[in-house]
Parts: sequence; structure tokens; C-alpha cells
Amino acid sequence: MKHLPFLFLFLLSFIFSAAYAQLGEQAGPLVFNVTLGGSQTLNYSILNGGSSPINFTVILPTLNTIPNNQTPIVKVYPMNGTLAPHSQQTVHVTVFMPAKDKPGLTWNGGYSAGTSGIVVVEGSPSIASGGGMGAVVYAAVIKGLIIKSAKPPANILLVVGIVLLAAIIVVGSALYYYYRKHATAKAKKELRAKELAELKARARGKARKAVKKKAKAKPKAKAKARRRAR
Amino acid sequence: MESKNFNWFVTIFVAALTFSALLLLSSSNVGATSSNSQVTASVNVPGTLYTSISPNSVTWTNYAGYSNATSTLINVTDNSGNIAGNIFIWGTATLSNTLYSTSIAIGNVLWNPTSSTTYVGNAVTTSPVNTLIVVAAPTLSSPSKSSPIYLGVKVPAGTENGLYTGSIYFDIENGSTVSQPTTSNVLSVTVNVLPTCYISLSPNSINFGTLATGTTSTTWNGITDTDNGGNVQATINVWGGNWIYSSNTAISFYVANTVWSPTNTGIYSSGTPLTLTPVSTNIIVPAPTQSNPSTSNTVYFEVGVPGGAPVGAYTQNIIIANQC
Repeated sequence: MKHLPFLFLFLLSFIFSAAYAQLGEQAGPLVFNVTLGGSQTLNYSILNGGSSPINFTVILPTLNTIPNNQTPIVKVYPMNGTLAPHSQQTVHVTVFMPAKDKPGLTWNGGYSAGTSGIVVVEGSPSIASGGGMGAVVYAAVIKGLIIKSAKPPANILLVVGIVLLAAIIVVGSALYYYYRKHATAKAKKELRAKELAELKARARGKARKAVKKKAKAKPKAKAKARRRAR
Repeated sequence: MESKNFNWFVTIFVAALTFSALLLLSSSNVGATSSNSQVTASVNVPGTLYTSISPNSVTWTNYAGYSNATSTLINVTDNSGNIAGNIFIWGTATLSNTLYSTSIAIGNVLWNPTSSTTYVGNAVTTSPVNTLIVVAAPTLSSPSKSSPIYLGVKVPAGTENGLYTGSIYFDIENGSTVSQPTTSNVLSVTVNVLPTCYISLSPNSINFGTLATGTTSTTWNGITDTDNGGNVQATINVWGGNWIYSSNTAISFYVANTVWSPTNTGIYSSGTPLTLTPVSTNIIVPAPTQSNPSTSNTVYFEVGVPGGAPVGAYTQNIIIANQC
């Protein structure tokens, strides 16, 4: 009977040694293609293949820098949590692309020196645990990132609007010039007609004067002729 | 002369035709007369079973070493049969992948008469098994009867990622009466195994012992990185924090006093200084397989204590990470 507590402790230690944590992740990089000024969210899974729960903390990635361009911002949700034994958790990763960056650029996290992907680490290693000479070793999984900047897609409505506006301006201008030309021609024609009418009127007046003159002149001539005949 | 003979033949032919027509007409009159008499009809309807299932295909997506709960509903229907029967189930030997020689044994698919939130039930076998799930007899007023059966799958640890396909068959049977031959009793099964890698470390701490200032440790301390149940290879990354003086956390010495190495044979100076940010060691943890579901590799550490470090205990955090 006096060995019972030891037996209990032995069994307890056996149970704890049998329980194990097994942090894992879905393989493969997250490849983002983000339009300038836009964002994109991709998901992946982290796993606990073991029989004891895992508390985890996320460390944000370190991306390479490109001169004269801002580095995209990466946000991860959740930033910490607990993975139940033999369970999985979806991690949401959102990348925000600065609007003033150039299109066609590529950043990476975890695929070149000085960079790192999204780190999911077992426990909270940022808190130093003092009290003994030695190192505490933490297990982690890294998710590599590849981020590409892309031109924003052409706004079809905007393009259609511009084309429509241009067409309206062209057609409007053409119509304006057409009607203006016609109006000018009509005005000229009318002016000409008016001038012609005036000329005709003047000509008619002159003719009438001439006729009158002739008419006046005829009796004089006749009288003159009569006088000569006499 | 020839014309005269022909007329005679035509006359005979027309006469024979007329006689035949009269004979046919008279015979039909006889039939009409006989329809007034009574005829006894009889038909023997045997016990009949038909089997069809819905849906006819199912896709499970999961990770190696994980299971899908036995909750995928398959309705087994007797449409136009007339007797009750039990559902029998069996399958192809394996769910196979065209790219790999590995497969998922059919026994990893479980069936259950009730839906479950966990992976429980009876294994599907290659020979028909009576599930004892009864499909009632269809009737004239209800000519279609069905019963549910639930399926789940477990992906064995180390199963390569990819698509695995196979077939599961259903039949409603009653004694020696089996279903009429059909193709609508076949369930096309696809298991999409996703790529994964795991990490577990042993041990979880290193005790470098007592070191005088200006000296280094003399033995490499190995940390074994194990992937137990993944299916792709992983690269080991290492980094850490500065050594923190336990009596005063404001006092520290640099992280790079710790060095790492893929082997334990060199001296301290042959190691690579640890950094504050992740660095790939190029040490590979091989991809586990079904036959070898646990693979590992080791990274070794040594430390040097700089001159002037105050007497006392120091602690450092080291992170070992798998990237896959």
C-alpha cells in the first residue's frame, strides 16, 4: 500500500511521456499576385498531429526590400492560439500592396538570405526564461511567401465612358461644323440673292428711267422731224 | 396466241385472290365470335430487388495521418422492387494513385449505420459484408424505399500527396435473392491527400553546463528534428535570441556565441554562428512515406562564453523551424 503514491506518480509520468506535440503545416509557398493599391488574402492550415495541445504564436514575415519601392504589408490572423490534439487551424494571410509601387516586382519571405516566411512557433519564445544556464529550444514551422505586384485591371466602365465621351465630342464637332457651314452658305446665298435683287431692282430703275427718257425724247424727235418736213 | 394464254392465267390468279380474301374475312368473323368466351390470365411475380445509390461519387480531402468523420451520407435505394433486403457493402482492394506505387487500403474506409462526428465504424472489405441495414419493401403506393449508410476515411501517415481513387459497391440482398444487375450501385471514391510536414524536437532544451569565460563547450549538443506523419521533405531553419543573464535581464551576450552545425565532428569554430533571424541550414528532413512514416535529422549546437561575462546563469531561446 505504501508504494501506491509512487505507482501513481509512475503512471502519471508515463501518461505525460506518451503525450506529444507535433506541429505541422500544409506544404507549399503562398503565392500572391496583388494589384497596386489593392490587397489579397490567402489561407493555409497549421496542424497538430500530436496528442497534446499546442499553444502557438505567429511571427510576421521579413520580406526583401526593393529600392524606390515600399515593401508590401503582410497581416496574419490569428496571431496566436491553441491547437487541440489532432486538429487543424486555418491561417488567413492578407497582403496589402502600396499604390505607388511599380508593377511586375517580386518580394519573397523565406526564399532568399535575410528574409523569412510566416513563422508559427510552439509556445512564446519572445519571453526569456531565466533561472538556468542553457538554451530552450522551440519548434516552429515556416510558411514561405512570394508576392508579386500587378497593374490594376483596366476599368471597363471608365474606358467605355471615355470612348463614348470622345465619340460624342467628335460627332458633336462634326455636326456643329456641318450646320455652321450650311448656315454660312445659306447666309451667303441669301446675301447674294439680296444683292442680286438689289442689282436687279437698280437695273429695273435704270431701265425705267431710260424708257421714260426715251418716251420723253420721242415726241421731241417727232416734232423735230415734223418741223424739218415742213 | 401468246396473248390468249396470258389472259387465262390472269383470270385464274384474280379468282384465287378473291377466294383468299373471302377466306380471310370469314376467319376474322370466326375470331370476333370467339371473343365473347372467357380467358383466364395469370402472372407470377417473384420477389425482386433493385439497388441504386445517391450520390454516385464522393471526394474527401485531408492530410496524411488524419481522418474524416464517418458522416458522409450515402442513400441506398430499392426502386421498383417488392421485398425488403439488407444492404451489403464491399470495395476495390485499394484507393490507388496513378503517380505513386503507394495506395490507401480499402480498410481505411469505414461504414456506419448512423452518422458520427468521429471516425468510427466497420472497415469496408473486398468481399460483400451484410451491414444488417434494412431497406424496406417497396409497395404499389410507395415504389421506392431507401436507407442511409455513412462513410468516413482515414489517410495513413506518410501517404504521398495526390488523388487516390477506387470504388465501393452496394447491393440489397434477401437470402438468395440479390439485386438485378445494375451499374448505379457503384460509389466512385476520391481521396485528395494534401502535402504536409511536421516538426517535433527532442530534447527541448540544451544544458551546456558550466563554462569559464573565454572558453567554449567541447561537445556538440544535438537536437533531433522529427517529421512524424507528413509527406513532403522539409528544410531546417535556425535562429535565436541573445544570451540573457538570469540575475539581470539587462545584461546579455550576443546570440552568435552559439554556433550550429549539421555534424557533431568539428570543433567550435567550425560551426555557423546563430543569428537573430531565420537562416536555412540546408539540413533536410526527408519526406516520410507509408513504409517509413517518421523521418528525422539532427542539428548540433555549441556555445562560447565571452570574456567579462558576469558570474551566473544565462539563458537563450533557440528556434528550430521546418519549412516545406
